[in-house]
Amino acid sequence: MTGGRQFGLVFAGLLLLSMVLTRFQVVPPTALRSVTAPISLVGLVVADNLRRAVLSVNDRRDLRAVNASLQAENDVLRQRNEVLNREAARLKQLEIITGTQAPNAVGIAQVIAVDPSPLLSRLTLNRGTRDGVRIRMPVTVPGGLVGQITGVSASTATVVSLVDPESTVGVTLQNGGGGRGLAHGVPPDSLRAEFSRGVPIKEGDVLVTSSLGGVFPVGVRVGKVQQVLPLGPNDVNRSVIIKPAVDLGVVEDVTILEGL
Amino acid sequence: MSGRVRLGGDGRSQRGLGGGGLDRTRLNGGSSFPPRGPARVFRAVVYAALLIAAQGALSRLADAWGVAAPDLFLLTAVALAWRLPPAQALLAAYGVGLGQDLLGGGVLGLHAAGLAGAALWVVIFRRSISDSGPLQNVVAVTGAVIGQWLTFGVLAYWLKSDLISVRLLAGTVPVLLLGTLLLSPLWDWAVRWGLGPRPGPQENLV
Repeated sequence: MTGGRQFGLVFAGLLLLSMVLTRFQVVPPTALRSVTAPISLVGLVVADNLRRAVLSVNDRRDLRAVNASLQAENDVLRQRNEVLNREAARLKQLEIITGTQAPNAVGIAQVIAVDPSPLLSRLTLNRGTRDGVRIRMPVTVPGGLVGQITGVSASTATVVSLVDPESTVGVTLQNGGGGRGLAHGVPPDSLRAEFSRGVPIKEGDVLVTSSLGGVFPVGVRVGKVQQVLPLGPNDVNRSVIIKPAVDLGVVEDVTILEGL
Repeated sequence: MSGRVRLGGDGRSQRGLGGGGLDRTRLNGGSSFPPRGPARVFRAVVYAALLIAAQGALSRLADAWGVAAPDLFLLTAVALAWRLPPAQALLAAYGVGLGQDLLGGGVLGLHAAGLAGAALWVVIFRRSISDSGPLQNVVAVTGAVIGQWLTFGVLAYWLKSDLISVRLLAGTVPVLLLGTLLLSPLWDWAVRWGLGPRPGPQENLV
């Protein structure tokens, strides 16, 4: 028998054996597999760990991209939130003012410029005639009076604040304390008011607007008495220094009220 | 270039004749396996363990990625076909296939016949190609895959089974072949350690 024929017979025999085995569905006992199970397990564990490592690296890369995307989205949302917060604060301010100072508010304006002079205190607002703003309209914030409009263009308005030397506002003691005085601005940050000698005014008293002058609504807080100046022998009025209720240096949004 | 292919070449023109390749021990059925002894058994056992573990790991990874795993059992059958006389190579490959059937828990004889078919083709190719080189390796592994799947086809026809489909052949076999080809140089290190170096093409053919 030649080598090639023997070779072919061996293959034919093996193929025949497989045909028989597969035809009769001979399945090996499971117990035999238990011998190699620990070795197979090693391979599976290695493969699983390797796959997890690759997945971890991929996940980390993906998470970094997602994180960058979320960071950008977060920045946009934060910015939007800031805008909405400001808008909400303005509306809240308007609500407070219409409820406590005057119901006829024109609207809210932003301070877009301030007078750089140390001798003046004037603000420029981003509302003008096309928004219904007119001269002599009072300007307030929830904390108190800011001043009044003295100049207006189509899109801006100029406010003379309480501490400007050209500002004059009628004041009276809060809670019906009586007295009627006129307060003038004293740059850079105070007012000087004069009351008749009979008014029992003292340091710490709160002053609000009075009907004197017919410009401001009555009862809007102006400031607190910081100092009562001593009376001279010939003085007919008592002078006091008033600290404004509103810190004009940090005001951003103000409310414009309808004039009386 | 070491990767020469001599399809249809004359056996006398190839290495082995007159060069000591077909010496008396080879003609008497000797093999290129390491010398008999505990070391040979130890290496064979370690190789078998490595084969099982590596094939398990590759199958797991391939399943996760949805592709066919490289067939290390096939590479083992190819290695045996290179190292043993033809009839012994068929028997050895069949034994390896039975081990694969055993590990898989399927029907005995399916992979056994497939690997025997692979070994058959490698032995046939072996008469015509040189003993080393990447191209030779590609031809041997490709031939083995073809032989294996032809045998699967014969069995499927015998069983009247739809085990082998065109979709399977088009989707699985190319990926399996590519993966096996890519892995074969690496796995060859393990084969050389466990089964010994590959002999010349004409050695053990008689």
